[in-house]
Order: sequence, then C-alpha cells, then structure tokens
Amino acid sequence: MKKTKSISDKTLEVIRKNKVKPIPRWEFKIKNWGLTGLWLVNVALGGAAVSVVLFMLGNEGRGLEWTERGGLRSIIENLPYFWLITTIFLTITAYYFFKKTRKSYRYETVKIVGLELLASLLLGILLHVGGFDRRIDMAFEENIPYYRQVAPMKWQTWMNPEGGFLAGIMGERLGQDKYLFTDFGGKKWVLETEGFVLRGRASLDDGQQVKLIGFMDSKNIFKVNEVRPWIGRGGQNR
Amino acid sequence: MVWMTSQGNCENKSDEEIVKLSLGDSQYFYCLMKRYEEKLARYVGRLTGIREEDVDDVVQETFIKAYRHLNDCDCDLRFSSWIYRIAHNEAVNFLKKHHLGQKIIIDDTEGGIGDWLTDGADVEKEAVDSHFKDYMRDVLERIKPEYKEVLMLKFMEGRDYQDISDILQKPIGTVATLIRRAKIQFKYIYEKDKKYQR
Repeated sequence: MKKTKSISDKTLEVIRKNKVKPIPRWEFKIKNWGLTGLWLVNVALGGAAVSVVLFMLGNEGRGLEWTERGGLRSIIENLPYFWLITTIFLTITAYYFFKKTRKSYRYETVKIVGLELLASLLLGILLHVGGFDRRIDMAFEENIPYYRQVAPMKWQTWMNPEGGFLAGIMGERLGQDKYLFTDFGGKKWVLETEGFVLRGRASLDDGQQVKLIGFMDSKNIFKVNEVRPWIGRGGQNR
Repeated sequence: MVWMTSQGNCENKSDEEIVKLSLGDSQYFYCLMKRYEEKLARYVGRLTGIREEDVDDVVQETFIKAYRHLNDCDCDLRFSSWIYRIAHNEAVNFLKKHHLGQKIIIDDTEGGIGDWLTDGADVEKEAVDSHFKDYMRDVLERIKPEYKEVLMLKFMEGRDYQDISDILQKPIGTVATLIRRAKIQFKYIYEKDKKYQR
C-alpha cells in the first residue's frame, strides 16, 4: 500500500501540533561546560590526593622505609591506603564525567585513564614540591573527624618503642653515649647511643627532631642503633 | 505549503548551512528531513529488521530529537554522522523498549562487501557461482552483530571509518579492529564449513 504521507510530512505535523522547539543553546553549553568542569575538578582533586600520597610516602612518609626491620612487608602495611583509594576513586569519577563530554568516544579508555593519572601525578608532584601537600593533610586533620585514624601519620608508626622505633626531640647530653630524649608523645627517655649510626643529616644536637631505630632496654631506656633525621630531604616537617 | 517553498531554497545548500538556517527559520528543517528520510529509513531497517511502520516511527522520533537538539548539533562532525547517530540510538532504544532482538540485515552481497570478505580467503570457483552469494549471506548472518553493524555502515551505507566512529561513538581504532575481526570471523566460518563439506 502506498503511503499517503511521507515521514517528513508526518514529523512536520507533530512538530507543529506539539509546538516542538529547539532546546536553547545555553542549556547545552551549561551541560558541556559543567561536565568539562567536573572532569577538571576531579583531575585536580586527584592531583591533591597524589600530593598527599607523596607527602606520606616521602618527606613526611609514614612508612618505615627500607630498614632491615621494615622491609617490603612494612612498606605494604604502611602505604597510605586512604589516599591511594581516594586517588583511584577520583580517577574513576573523572573518567565518568569525561565519558559524558561530547567527543570522549574518540579516545580509548586506557588513554583517558592514563592521561588523567598522568595529569594528577604531575599536579600532585607540583603540589608536593610547593609544600601544599602538608597543608592539605593538615586541613583534613583539622576539619574531618576520624581522618587521622584512617590516614595515620608517620609519627604514629614511629612511636613503637617495643617494635624498635621511636621518634621525638633530642635533649641534653647526659654523659658518654647518653642523651635525654622526649618522644612525640611527650614521654622522657634516656638514649644509649654506643655504636650507633647517623644517617643523612641527622644529628644528636639538643632540639633536633629525629627518628630512632634500636630497641627498648627498660621502661625509659632506649638503645639506639640508628638515628635518622625526622625532616626528610624536602625539608617538610609535621 | 510554506515549508515546500523553503525546500526549494535549500537545494544547493550543504546540511550544515541548512542547520544554521533552521535555527533562525525552522522551515528549513523540512529540507533536512526530506533529504534524510529515505536514507535513515533504510539504515534503521537494516540495523533492526523491524517492520516498516516501526521504522517510520523510529525515523520520526529521530527527526524530532534532532530538531530539539539542533543547538547541540556537533557541527565539527558531518551533519549526516550526527543524525545517523541519533537514528542509531533511537533504533536501539526502540528494540530495548519493545524487548526485541537486533537483526541486522546485510542485503547486498553485490556491493564491495563480497570482494572484500573473500579477498585472501581460499575462494576458488565458488566465487563465480551464484549459490556462493546466498551462502555468503548465510555466513554474514552468523557473524557477531557488532561486526555486522560496522560492515553494514561501511559497505551498505558507504561510510568511512571516521563517520562510523562518530555514528557508533567508538574510537576509530576500535572501528578498524571490528572491521578486521569481522573479516577474520567470516574467513573462520567459511574455512570451517568447507572442512565439513569435504
């Protein structure tokens, strides 16, 4: 049977009858800019998360580094999981928003995610070098309840005298190979430093912040095998 | 009819020019509809295998959606790719809404598709046999729908890789891969059938 009306004619009737109008351009612009903005915000937040990861791994890193006692297990146990998960989450949300932008389909998933991670990493490094990483961490600590429980700091890891790790401030010298020491928890110790090793720019001068590897000899005596500077190479401190 | 008058005014104009004119004067949109109604109906029919009345509904929805989204027309793309994309999405939505399976129809083995598919395959005297064309149609029925869709766009609709990428919203590399895999699968089925026949 021959059609009486073409699709175009029928569509025209519907358009007229229902007073169909093109959606204003600004609505699409807002949507497109919004999505692009959300994508960029997520990449930027990813950068901030990466900077805190670097902060915790590096200068102010919470790991026990490559000590004989630390080892790989200690590194795995002490990775800043909260911020690593946050980075992954932000990368996924950034990908989600990017996929909703107009020409996203032209790019393969691997390339999009790879570029987002690279951008976050570069931004994270910039924030880390600029010292903003510490400020971000501090801002979270001050404003987010229970933050420090989910993202513990290095000093918490180093406040483990039974495990052979201690961190705090050097006090006055008491005699040959003996020093006063106050840990970051405020407890007073006597350090015995016979045969110890000084690492990096660490010193035993009064007022120096250091981290110690050794063992607890008695309730307030700590025998030191190794002294490391609390402040890392980047010069940041808690 | 006023719309018909404007159709006469747009014969020598490109799609993209008419899109711009349609935004100022909606009568011009009729030209675009007239230009694409047959092409889209054929495409939707091939893509879905649905009845003609349903095809008309899908194309109508496509035009209405295109008209409403005219301000969002991605003019960096060709208009044809943009409207084919809408048609593709509307067709898929129609199938989902009516719980229908996709039945892609590749109805022309005379077009370049036959030569392309058999190029490199061990096709001997069968190539000249008219039964072979029926057989080839049968093999095409058996290959994956996602492969068939790109083959249909490439050979039936005459689209290049960039167009297919824009219509299906897949990276151009993925389009190339799908086309390559379609050929591999075709050859695999063909060789397997041949082995059983011996």
